[in-house]
Amino acid sequence: MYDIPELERKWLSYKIKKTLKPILAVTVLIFAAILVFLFIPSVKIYDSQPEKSVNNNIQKTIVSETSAESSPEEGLKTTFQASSVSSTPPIVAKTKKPVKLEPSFNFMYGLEEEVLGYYDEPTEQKEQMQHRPIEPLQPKAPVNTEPKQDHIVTSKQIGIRSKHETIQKSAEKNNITKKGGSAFEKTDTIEKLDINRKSDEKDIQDVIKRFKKNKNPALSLFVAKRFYAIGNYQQSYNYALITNELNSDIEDSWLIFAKSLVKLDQKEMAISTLESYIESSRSIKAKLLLDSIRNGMMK
Amino acid sequence: MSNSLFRTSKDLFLDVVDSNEYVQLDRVSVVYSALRESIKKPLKMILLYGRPGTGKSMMLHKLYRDLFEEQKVVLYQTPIIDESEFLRSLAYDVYDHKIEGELNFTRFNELGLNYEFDTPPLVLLDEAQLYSPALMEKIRLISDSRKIKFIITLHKTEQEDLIAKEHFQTRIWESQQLFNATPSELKIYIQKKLLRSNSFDIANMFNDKNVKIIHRFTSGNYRDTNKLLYLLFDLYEWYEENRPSKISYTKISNKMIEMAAIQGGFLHV
Repeated sequence: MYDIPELERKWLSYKIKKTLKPILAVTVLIFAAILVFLFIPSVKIYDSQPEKSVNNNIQKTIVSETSAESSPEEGLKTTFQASSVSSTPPIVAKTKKPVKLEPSFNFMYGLEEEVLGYYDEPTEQKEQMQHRPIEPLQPKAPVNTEPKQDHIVTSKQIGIRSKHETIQKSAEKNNITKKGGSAFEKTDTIEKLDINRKSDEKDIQDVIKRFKKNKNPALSLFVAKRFYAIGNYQQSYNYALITNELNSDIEDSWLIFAKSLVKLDQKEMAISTLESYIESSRSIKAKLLLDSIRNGMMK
Repeated sequence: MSNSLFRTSKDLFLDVVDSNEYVQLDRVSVVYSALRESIKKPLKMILLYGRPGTGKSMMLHKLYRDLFEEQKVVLYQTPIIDESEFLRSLAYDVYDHKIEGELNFTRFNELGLNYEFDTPPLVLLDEAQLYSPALMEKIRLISDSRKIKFIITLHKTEQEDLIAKEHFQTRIWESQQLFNATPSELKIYIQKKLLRSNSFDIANMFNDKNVKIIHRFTSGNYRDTNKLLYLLFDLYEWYEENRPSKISYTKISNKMIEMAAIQGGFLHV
């Protein structure tokens, strides 16, 4: 016959094991999760310390360069200004990547006066410029010395006037009589032109305002593209640079940046910038652009 | 609830091959019907195979019982290893010819020429994997003469597959495989067995969870299930006699199933 007490003891042992198994598993998982949770931040702190100390000099240089180079953008009240004033190192990720693009910053020095017009803190900006550690490699004379707003208006007016003339010509061809109406028509067209121009400018300014608030690189890229489209290459350069600072992975930003440089007669810098970018990103578009710049197709 | 009820239930699950205990399940019925159809075909050999405990012997018994009155049918439950003994037994059971002394293969064939049957006699060989290759070759030759039709059962193992391959590859024209029961089939199996002996109360004590636990321990193997249930009812019987307050008469206790599994070696602690 059965040894029932022994059988019951075995069953109890089995039951305890069966019940404890999931409990133990869950406990181990919880402990593991807690350990991981505690361990990861400690690793970060541990890692970040030497990084700070090792890269201290580099960061300082970068920051000072950034502050000097980004001084035109100080009007935007970006983090660069804060970092340079308080000498608190910015986030490593932000400072690391621009190192690759060091040559491009030099060109910024020539743009300081132009950028001042966009931001409302010229005094502070000048103070920042005094702390600039490296002498600008590029001549101080800005590439585009003319006020860009006028340039925009002129190009628009010319474009639309010529359009108007074309319309007039086509109307003449179609034997449409416009006696005494031509002067009025012309005035009307100019008024329309003014409205359009203001609208474009307003759009960009609106986007710039939004960008100042949220520092969204998509907005700065949009502004850079718009400026490039209307021929304000200096500003397109500036905003492409800002975009690159915020997010160095946006291909379009680099392309606009390089194109703007070409337009600003900084072909060599554009080439070196694109070469650096291609090296890190393997971008085909950048490669094509580089080829076209080298071949002289992009002017 | 009387003592005899658990005892009766326990006895139902004794590991005996009795065609009266055959439980008709859907999937098994399909195999059985296919087997019956195969017998009608002019096949020399039919193979019934499956893992141990899937009900091959039981099906062979049922077939024997069902065909017994219709045609000449012989069932060898245990293999006759000696060739002369096997042929003598075959001569006696198939041709009703008793031979004293040795009987070789040639003489057996000569004997067969003297008999004619409307339907070829059917010989059911259980555990055919135990026959020697030489004897299996003789069986194959006898089946080739179409004087006798064979149904053989084999365990489905790698080695036995080899036997089937070597000896019957070109001769077995039909084969049927039996499988372990699914949990739902197992429940039907248990309840049908209990209901057949009017153990309605016991049958109603099993719920799906009980059956799932049983299936977990036995993998749906009928032989293992019989063993586990025998032990289960044996335990119930003991508790009923010694500690009646410890058992419930409304449902089967999972604890008891697990204890039976420990006792039967299905569960290692």
